[in-house]
Amino acid sequence: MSILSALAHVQAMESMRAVPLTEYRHRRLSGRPLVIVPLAMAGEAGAPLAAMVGSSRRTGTLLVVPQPRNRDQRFAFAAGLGRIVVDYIDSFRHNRRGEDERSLYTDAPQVLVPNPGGVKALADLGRMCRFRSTSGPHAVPDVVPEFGMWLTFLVDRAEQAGTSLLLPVTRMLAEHWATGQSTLEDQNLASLMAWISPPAGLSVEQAMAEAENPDVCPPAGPTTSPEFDNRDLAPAIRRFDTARALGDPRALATAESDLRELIAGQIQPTWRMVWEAISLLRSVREAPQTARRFERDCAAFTRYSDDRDAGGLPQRKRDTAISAARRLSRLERALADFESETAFDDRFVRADRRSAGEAFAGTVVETESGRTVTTAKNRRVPRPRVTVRTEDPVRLVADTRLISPSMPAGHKAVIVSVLPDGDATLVVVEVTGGMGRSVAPKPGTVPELGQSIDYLPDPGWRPEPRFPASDHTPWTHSAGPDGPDIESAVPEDAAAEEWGNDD
Amino acid sequence: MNAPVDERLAALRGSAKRLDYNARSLAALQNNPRCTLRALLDASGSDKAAIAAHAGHPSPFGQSVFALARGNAFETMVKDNGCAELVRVLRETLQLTLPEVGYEDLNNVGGDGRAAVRHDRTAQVLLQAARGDGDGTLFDHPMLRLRVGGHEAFLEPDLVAFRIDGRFHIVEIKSFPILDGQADPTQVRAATTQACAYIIALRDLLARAGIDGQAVSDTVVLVAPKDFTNRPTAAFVDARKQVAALSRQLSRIERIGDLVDLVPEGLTFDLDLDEEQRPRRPAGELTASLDRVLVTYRPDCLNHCEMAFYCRSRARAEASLDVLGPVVREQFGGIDTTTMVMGLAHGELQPSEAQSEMADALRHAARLRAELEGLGGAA
Amino acid sequence: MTTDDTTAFDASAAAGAATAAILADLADSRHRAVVVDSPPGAGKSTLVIDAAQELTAGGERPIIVAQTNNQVDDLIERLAEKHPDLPLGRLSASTYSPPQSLSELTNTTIGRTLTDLAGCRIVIGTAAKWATVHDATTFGWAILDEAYQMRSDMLLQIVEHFDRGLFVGDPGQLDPFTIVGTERWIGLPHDPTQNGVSVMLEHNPGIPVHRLPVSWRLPASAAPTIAQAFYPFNHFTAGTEEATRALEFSTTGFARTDLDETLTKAFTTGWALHELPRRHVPRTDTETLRTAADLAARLLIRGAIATCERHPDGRPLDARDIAIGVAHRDQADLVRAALARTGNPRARGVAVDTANRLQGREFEVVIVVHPLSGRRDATAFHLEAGRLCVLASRHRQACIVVAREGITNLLDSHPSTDPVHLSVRAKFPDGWEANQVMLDKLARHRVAA
Repeated sequence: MSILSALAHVQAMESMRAVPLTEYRHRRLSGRPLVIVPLAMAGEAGAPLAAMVGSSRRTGTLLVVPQPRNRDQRFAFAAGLGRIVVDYIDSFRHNRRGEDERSLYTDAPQVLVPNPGGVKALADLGRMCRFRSTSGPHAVPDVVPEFGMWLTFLVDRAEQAGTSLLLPVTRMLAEHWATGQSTLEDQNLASLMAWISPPAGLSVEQAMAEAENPDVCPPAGPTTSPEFDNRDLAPAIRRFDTARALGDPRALATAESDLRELIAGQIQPTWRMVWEAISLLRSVREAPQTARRFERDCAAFTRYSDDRDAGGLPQRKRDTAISAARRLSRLERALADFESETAFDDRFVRADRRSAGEAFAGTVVETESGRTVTTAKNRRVPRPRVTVRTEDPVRLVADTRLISPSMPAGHKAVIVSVLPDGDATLVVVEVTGGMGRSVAPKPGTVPELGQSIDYLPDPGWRPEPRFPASDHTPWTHSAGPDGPDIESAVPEDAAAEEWGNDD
Repeated sequence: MNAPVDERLAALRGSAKRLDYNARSLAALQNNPRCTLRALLDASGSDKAAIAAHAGHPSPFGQSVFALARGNAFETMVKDNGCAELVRVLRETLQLTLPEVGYEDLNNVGGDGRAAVRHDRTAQVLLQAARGDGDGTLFDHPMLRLRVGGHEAFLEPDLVAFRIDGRFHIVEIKSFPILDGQADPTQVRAATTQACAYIIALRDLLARAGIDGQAVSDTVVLVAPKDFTNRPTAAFVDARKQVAALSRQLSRIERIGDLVDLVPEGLTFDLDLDEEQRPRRPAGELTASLDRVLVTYRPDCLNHCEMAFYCRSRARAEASLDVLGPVVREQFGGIDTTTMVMGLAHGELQPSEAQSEMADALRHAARLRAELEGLGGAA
Repeated sequence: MTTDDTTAFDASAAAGAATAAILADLADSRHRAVVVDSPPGAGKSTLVIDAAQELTAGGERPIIVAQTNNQVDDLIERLAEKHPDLPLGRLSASTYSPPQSLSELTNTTIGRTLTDLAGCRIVIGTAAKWATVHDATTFGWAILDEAYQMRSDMLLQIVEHFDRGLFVGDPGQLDPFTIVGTERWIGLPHDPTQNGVSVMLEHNPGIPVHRLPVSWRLPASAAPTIAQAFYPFNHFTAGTEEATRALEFSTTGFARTDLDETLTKAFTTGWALHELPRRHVPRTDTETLRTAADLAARLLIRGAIATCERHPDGRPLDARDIAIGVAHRDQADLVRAALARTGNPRARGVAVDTANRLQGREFEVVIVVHPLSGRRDATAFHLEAGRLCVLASRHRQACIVVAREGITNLLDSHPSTDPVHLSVRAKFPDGWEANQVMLDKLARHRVAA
């Protein structure tokens, strides 16, 4: 956090309305996202209670588990939800661009959940489903493990910065708007929406109060409010259980429809709010480099689709030494790239870095555009220098490599010196790239006198790390024959997972 | 602790029954120990939930019947048949070589469930075991006692202690899952801190009999459902740091006198309950009393403290930067309010010498914000 | 003098015995790896050089892996000085430009590939550079310096270059970290965010772990406190007697009395806490940072003569002997700016850096901006024991801590915040306890500004 973003939150608190933190939306928003609002039962791991799912506000399907502790009902629910999600995913597996193995799907699915808890709920569901066997004593429908693997793919991908295959809408909103409340409260979709777009006729204060009242705004999940559980849900489940025990089909039907209605009342407000949030987010322009990041999403989606087609195994419970190192490298690079790309695209984000002295913007007050140097290979190359006067508190030092969103693509420069000039700072910059091949720079490639220009550090290129092959874990990272038996602690034959006494 | 301090605390609580510390409230000491209001309410044994509710900010910490049922069912299953499942897990999962298991239920003493009686029985049995007599290995529901701020607190025992290789270990049975070897860090932390209260209490019991604290291990055993099943599994939790941290907080409570000295004379949080437990004291008067005590609000309090909603509304009314949380707050150094931030940012307030640097940064940031918004920023 | 001699003898003997045991284990072919834990300034580099020489003498062609280019350059210079006949190879990236002192070495070749360095008996490079070598050559031994600062995933990238490893490092310093916030790997023996030594030991239980028992850097005034605060389970002593090290002003003081008082306290006792008035401030607080710069500048103006076992007759200190250590990069930038403004051109030569970058370095006098100074809250970052350990253990003569009053209260209201995880051993020392030990010590050397 910089002082600039912090100030935005203070502004929001003072003016009692959300203020923008970015110029653009840096996450891709699919034209046809699939919204899932998952609800789970309190106190129970991976006990789904209900989900509302669909790819438009009007076509939401409500799935309910009348008795979440019942294993068969859980998996019937997983199969129902799984069919919808897998069908949705399959609908993106038609158009490929490019030749043979290198070809990629041109579009990719996008699953949106209300909040980070929703991602966790899908992770649990994915973990619960992906190892299930479709034959034998606890057989589940074919779609269940398939669904589990896809969910796990989406959840894993969501861990990587800048991706858009699975996102909580609270995060997308909070990336773009600063509110006058804390990060913790921003995770409550209703509270966040209260600041950005309070319901008609309500002030932000009133909307905030309502957002925290579970009778007006039921929690967006995954767990339901304890009051609701104790007052409404528990008796309704009890009625269902009794009806089932008695084998009375009419009573059972009534109990089940009562339960559905009860849960619909809890889930629908969130469902509507997620779609409202989506249309708000659509009104924000998408950042230029989002498309490039989406290409990477499509590539990941294509790779995993092909793996599914080839009958690949479910993802492991925990990473091996090599896969963990690979994943860490991927996550770190994606985060660094995302930070750099958003700053390049977005002047709000750049201003953030400027206020911290990690970037600067100013006016060109002096140029030496004809300057050339002779390289070690005895070639004369253009190395024009320009002096930028800035009021930013520059902390960058000489030799820092720079890029600039104000110049044509390929522009590269390096800081020669940073000197104070009264309250301002003079930064002398040498242009080193993006000027064409001749000794005279191409027109428009060197900053001109009086021009306003932004510079930020060049994240540079880093070599892709190379790790040993997956089946060659070296001695430092694997136990020898005499060492501790690590693998047995993480058994892979999870299809045999026991289920205890479920009813 | 001296008597006057105790008297002042009693006056703060007023006519209400004293609420004693328990393992859960002791564990909660770790959250926001800097808050004066909370320290006073806890030390005086006041009913925070009732006070918050009467002040117009009821706390939302209800517990779902589902969670309760699940917790109880799991604990019962683990402890059935003389802790058969527990013993299996200790042996198989943790590979402990438990000798012949002797199971001792300290839940009640010949039908007498009173805390003091149970405590005496617990002390007798555990001390015997510590001295090597008696054949107990598993001790269910030991009733432990800890002196906190000069008051005896009985620790409600939802645990088992077991003894192996001459050392006692605390077992916490929890119903949140251990999924592929990992569990929710917040829940693990809470469970561990509770276990630490027991460790300290058990050490205290042994110390009074001249037995070294080393006889109680600071490695806790957490028993919880494995993955998505109802079957228990177990893991060790190294609680050395938490034991030290909780001990520090306990010694801090002993210094409550320093805080009491700062409280205005005659202040009380008494609700003045009638026979039907309805507060007779005007809510406005209660709030006025609360308002006179320093609070340290953090958004995180909303997860822990019954008073949090009251404190938040107070922080909002004061335009305090605390509302936005420590990460935002840190950016503004010694400045406390949004009014001050905005005043300095727009050059409307004259910064003190100590603020001049902050004011420069704020004016720069405000210029940037104006520039961004002026150019027709997003939405 | 008798006591001096005895102590020096004892320390040398203890250190010598430790080294002999380490070299014996190196020669023992049963061990795939040998680990040496070294407290600050315990002769780690000397050990690396001795081990490299010993291995070379035994017919090996060892490689050395360090973590930064500076560390590699230092090792090469020291190796070249001690063993001028050994052909050394410095494996470097194309962007590397050697310092003057290194270019002058005749026995050192600088190359970008192993082929360039084919004739060298010892090849030295950073871990990052070794990770880019995809040559199939395998070496018998690698010496991994500052190994506790190397992440496990980095070790994985370089481990195929060698059969056996000598891992040397200081476990009390800063742990490696990642910017990615994930708990995915917690509890795994091969957690890639852990340091390479811990991961290697986790998988290879029989590996001998040695400890160097004597700090040759830390003065007698500092070793016991540092040992107690940061190495609660590995005791070590100072290699020098109280009387061996001394600082004296070369001029008498005038004006600026509070700075002089602090300097005097540090010169006479080895420690000083320069305490500024209590106030909550942003970490970029000018007064605090400027005070650190002013203390350095004042020290240079007054002039100091340092006496030690290397310079028994005293040596005047210059800017290179002084460092200012901070927690954050922006603080370092601001201290540098403040040094430039002190008006003393020599002040620019003072090293200013964050704890991360000061690791492994040594100075005569170190001025520390306390990580908790002026803060409202104590985060895990600011409480981290390793950070304070690095800052408080770089000096040979004296350490001056600059802080705002109030750290005691801050600690009091911030109990340990470390997360608790299943089946993961707690890491010691505890940041809170270590900070407390340091504060207790500093309270006895306090100068109120």
